[in-house]
Amino acid sequence: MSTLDWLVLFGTLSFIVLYGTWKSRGSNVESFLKGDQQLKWWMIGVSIMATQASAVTFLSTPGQAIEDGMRFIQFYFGLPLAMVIISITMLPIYYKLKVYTAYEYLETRFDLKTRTLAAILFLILRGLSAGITLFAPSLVLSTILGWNIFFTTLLIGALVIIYTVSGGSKAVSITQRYQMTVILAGMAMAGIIAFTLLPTDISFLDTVRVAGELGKLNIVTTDFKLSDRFNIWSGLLASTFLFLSYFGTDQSQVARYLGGKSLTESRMGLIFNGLLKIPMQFLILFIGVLVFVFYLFNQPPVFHNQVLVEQARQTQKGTSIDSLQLDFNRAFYEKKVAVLKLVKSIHDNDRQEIEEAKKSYRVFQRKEDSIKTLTKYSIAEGMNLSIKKVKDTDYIFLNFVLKYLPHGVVGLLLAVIFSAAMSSMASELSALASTTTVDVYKRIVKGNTESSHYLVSSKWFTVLWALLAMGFAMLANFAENLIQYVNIVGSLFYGTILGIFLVAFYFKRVKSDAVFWAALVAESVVLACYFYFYQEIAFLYYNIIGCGVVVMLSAIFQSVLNYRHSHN
Amino acid sequence: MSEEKPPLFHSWKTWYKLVLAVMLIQVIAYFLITKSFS
Repeated sequence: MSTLDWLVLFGTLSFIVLYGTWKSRGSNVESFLKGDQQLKWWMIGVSIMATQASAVTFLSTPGQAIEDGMRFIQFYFGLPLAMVIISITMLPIYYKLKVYTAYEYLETRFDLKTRTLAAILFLILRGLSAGITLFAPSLVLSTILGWNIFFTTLLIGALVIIYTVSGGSKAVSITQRYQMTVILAGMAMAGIIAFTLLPTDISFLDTVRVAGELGKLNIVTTDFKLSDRFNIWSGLLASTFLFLSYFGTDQSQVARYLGGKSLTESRMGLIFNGLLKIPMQFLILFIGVLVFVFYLFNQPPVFHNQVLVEQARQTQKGTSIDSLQLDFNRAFYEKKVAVLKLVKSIHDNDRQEIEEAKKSYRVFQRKEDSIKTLTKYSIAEGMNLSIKKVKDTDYIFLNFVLKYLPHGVVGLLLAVIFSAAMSSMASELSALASTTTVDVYKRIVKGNTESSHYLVSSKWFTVLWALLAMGFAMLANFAENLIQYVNIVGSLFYGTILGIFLVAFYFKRVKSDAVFWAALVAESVVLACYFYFYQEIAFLYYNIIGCGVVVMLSAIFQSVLNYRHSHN
Repeated sequence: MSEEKPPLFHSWKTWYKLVLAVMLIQVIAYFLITKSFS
């Protein structure tokens, strides 16, 4: 990292934090919890997108495209449909009741225990997610920059605390505009530069065709398998449930559009998100594809977490890792010959040659893969780690940025990662604090006191949740691709929460006791699916299972209760 | 809370149809890209 990179990184972050703190100074409890309710539609849309796009999105998604192709985009297919349903059903009710949190509505419709149950499920899910949101960039940045993970966690956490505690929801929305600008500018620049780094005789169409022939443009996959995470069916069906719950009942998102100037502005904000989210994810995944094609012509490292490799080299496995790197280099050059042959046959439009080139590419790709696997085992043995923890998908993109992007842009891209981490975490902390204050503290612990007391309490709850997230991030240890964890944790709870809300909206005869017990059973069923059928049922389907069990059981329980009532 | 008219169109339904149409067009376009380049 050059001085220019440091200047860009710290200049960008300082500006956002100071500006957010200054603009939101003197907040009252209303603006702290709900914002000023002056946001225009585009501000709401940007805020919604910035909340959802965490650092994991930018660290993991390009790596996901490199490893698994672009099919991850199908995960977002249900989002526009969810935006429309929320705009029609949930949003007008929240506005009509003038709620601070989504869970307040459940007390109006059912009772206090159902509201508290939904709020607690949300606090568990969002509390865990806030930890992951912070853990992901802290881990990767600490590895890449050679800093201690305690320091990166502390830095991101402290920056977020400064402006979130100072201005609450209002500060979150103000800063997210600038964070999103940095994110979009940085990613666009990374995409353009990645393309310009390709060999000069490789056109854009060649890039797309090579990526397609090598299976990376698998954007839509139509095979249905319950265990398959990403296909068009899970995307259109299960994701719709996930996004209905995330945008309609998760306070970190509900707070974004409740800060709107009017119902119209909030609706337009959701529509904005519905129109732009899929193209944005497409671009991020496509940047991954560009990096994949770049590494077809440029020697990649055998393992992208370079810091871990360096550490492993100092152990008794050093010689074996060096020799594997040499084998990998040889396999790369053999593969490159096959890739050049593929490009030539694409130019000649010779189908038979294309197939032959692909066949020979696959042979060398398998060779590379087996060398990579051996390297992982060597690293795991050398460092005394479990093989599951030796993964480098989350490092591919950042490693590319640090090695190949020009000075200044590297600082900007790191600012993207920090900004994304901060924007999501700020929304999460703000939502955790407002739910704790409004749904638990004010309603159960200490009601009917002056509003200044709740303002101070909200600020303390923000700090408390931030400290919990920081503690989680410092102690956590994950084995899988980080973006999967965020979605898995969400799917464990969203189905049940959505089920409660759907019953509230559409099953008017169902009362509180029925839905409360149905929700408890549904949550147990979802957790059982996760612990006992993790391989058989893809996590996106937990959203349908949780929601379905709540709806069905609450209808059955209510019928039983009605029957008993009529016979007593 | 009185409901205001949406910007540009006369009805919210048109906006919702637009969102769903854009989504469908994207799904179809991505499907065609997948079929054409794989």
